[in-house]
Amino acid sequence: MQPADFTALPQRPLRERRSSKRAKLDDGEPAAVAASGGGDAAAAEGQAAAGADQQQAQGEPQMQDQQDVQQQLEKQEQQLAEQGEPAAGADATPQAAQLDLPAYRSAAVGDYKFEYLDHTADVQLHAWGETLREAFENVALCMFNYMTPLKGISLDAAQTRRYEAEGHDLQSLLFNFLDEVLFAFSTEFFVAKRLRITRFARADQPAAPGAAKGAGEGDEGGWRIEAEGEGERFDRARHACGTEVKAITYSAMQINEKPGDAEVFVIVDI
Amino acid sequence: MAYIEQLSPYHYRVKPGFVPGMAVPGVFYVNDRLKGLLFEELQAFCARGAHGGFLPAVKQISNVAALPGIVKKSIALPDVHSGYGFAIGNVAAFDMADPQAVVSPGGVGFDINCGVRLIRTNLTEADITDVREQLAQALFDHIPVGVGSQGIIPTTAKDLEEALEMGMDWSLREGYSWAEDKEHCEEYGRMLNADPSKVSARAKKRGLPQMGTLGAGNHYAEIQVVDEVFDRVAARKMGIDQVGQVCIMIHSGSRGLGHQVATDALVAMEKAMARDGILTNDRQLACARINSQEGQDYLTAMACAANYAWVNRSSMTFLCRQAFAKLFNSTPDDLDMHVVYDVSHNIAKVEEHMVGGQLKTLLVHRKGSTRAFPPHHPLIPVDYQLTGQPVLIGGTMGTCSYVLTGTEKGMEETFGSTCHGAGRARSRNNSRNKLDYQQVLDVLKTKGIAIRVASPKLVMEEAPESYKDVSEVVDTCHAAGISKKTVKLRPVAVVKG
Repeated sequence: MQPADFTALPQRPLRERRSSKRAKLDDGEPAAVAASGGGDAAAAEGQAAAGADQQQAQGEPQMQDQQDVQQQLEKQEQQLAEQGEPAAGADATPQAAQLDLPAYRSAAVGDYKFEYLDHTADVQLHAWGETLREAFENVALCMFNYMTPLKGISLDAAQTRRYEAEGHDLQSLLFNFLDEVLFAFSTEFFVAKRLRITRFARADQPAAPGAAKGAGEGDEGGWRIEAEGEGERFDRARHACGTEVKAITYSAMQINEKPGDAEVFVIVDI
Repeated sequence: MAYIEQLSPYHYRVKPGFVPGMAVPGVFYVNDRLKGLLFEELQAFCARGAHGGFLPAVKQISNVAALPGIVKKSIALPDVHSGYGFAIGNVAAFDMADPQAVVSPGGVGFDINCGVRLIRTNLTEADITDVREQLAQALFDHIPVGVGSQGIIPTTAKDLEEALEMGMDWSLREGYSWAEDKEHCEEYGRMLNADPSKVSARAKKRGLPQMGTLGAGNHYAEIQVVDEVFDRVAARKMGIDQVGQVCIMIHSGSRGLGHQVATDALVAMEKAMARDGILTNDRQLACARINSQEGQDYLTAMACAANYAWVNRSSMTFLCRQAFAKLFNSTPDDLDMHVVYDVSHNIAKVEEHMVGGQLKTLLVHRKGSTRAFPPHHPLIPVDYQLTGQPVLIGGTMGTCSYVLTGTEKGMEETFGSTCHGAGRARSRNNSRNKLDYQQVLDVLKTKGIAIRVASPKLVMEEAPESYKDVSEVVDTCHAAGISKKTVKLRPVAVVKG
């Protein structure tokens, strides 16, 4: 019996991977992420691969600054090729040249700072902001928007709802926060069109991404969010039905924080 | 890739070592046409590296094989795709006698006791052709569906407590189900170890307004007709051997309550893992020793959620019977609206299986996988003893569904489990962006299917193109010998959330 020959699948050189369906990226965003991706030693391999993806998946390379970044990334790609495959374990595979992976943040919904990413059975919420607080606010809105388009929701000041959540580390804080928001929707049918985190207490310093996991032990009240949501009750007669979110998951949850930029990935169960 | 070897045209093995700590091999059943999707997931994962993205199913199967107490192998059925912790379509059995063995809510799924029920009628397609649109509308009016829907069966908090404890016995007492419905349900519609005090107040609050609702996502109620009969004898036993015979299929689960139970358990177990020294490759693989407090609490809460789902399906059976009776000016009894069978495809059960020649008591987790017991098994109803347990495989919106029966081979190889449906091929987001709502509806119209949906976006997400081909999945199971095709059903009306 022959083992399945993965390398026999058709290969295309990385460069030619383009997609005309791709929406234009925000100016400066890809450069910022790609550049910082190169500089951050800890997540260098993974980020560089993603950065390379971003650049490759972009449309016309007409802008000057992008050409510079292009060169930078070509260098990174070379480095990658020399180093070997990115962290993928024993199942080393060739570069996925034939997959058209969209650049992150290219599918932002309207003016909001969030987008939905492909997942086979569910959906991955991806939200960002200048601070982690903003990213958390946006991911909650991202979830609401999936259940019913936010533009159909009006702001009823009398129905402003307060949320509170606690956790033992950053990820559990995010999880509990979203769970609380979802719970409020499931029981009271409240949809927030705007959300403001009024208190964001964290027991760590917001410097190193990913280090929060172990740093939260000790102080009971060390991780806490208090937020205020403005919106109204969901009414089937007036609001469009989207897709119901059933639960928040820890699956592939990522919270990435850098000075001046933060992003959050959460998969929700549909 | 060196770790993945092909054992036959229908199944592959993942050797220990693919991920650290694998105690047993992984096995997945796919044919040539389905394997592409599995490997594509793996490819995408490798390309993204560590930034964003999600774990592919192949890796998840392997992570499960590294859990303590797992027996024989970590199995994936043809409809497998990436999930949280466990892949969807993943079966794993743990030895209850082993003190290290664990129970994992991820191995059951968030939608505890998501399952399918098939109700037959004595109507034929000719009888309903003229009234098809009205039937679809009647079902849509009777059964609450979609985001923010609320149940119409009057329920108080006390009723909910009793329903959680008694499952279908509660439905029977309240008059929503017939006595013979219980016989044709797994566990007779009630898991006896349910303890409502282990279900959190949060979960009960979510469950109360949703009693008797269909839900959203891939849940549906379909009116189907028998399209093809593969096994006459078994079909006759089930009462659905006439081509053109009308049936109703309900696919639903435990709604918000089940989800909250799973979420609560995951949180509790995460804390317990540090205490008991359990290490896993994936945070979502939160688990607890079966004998620990958290493990036992979860199993009883899971039983409550399972009971809730059976009550839900019974309530909807009741509503369907009412809708049909009204429309045809008859009674459900006269229309022979009996439950053919009710299966669960997200559940953990304590079962006895032969392992290495010895009879062992195992905790079998089935996530996105249906139990398929062979003929003569003591746990299946008397009237199916000679033919085997019926297995209901729901197709996707607008495609066929199947009824299968369990086999001995399945019992040996997969702990008596088989697929559960089509399994997704394309992501929801992808479908939302790339498929056209009107196009999908038009295709359904040309097939003569009346459709009622609560959410337009869902139409695209749930389009048949987004799913694997259910026929391929079922054929693979049939060819691998783990279940036998019995009847093929074709939808004529669909109600979705």
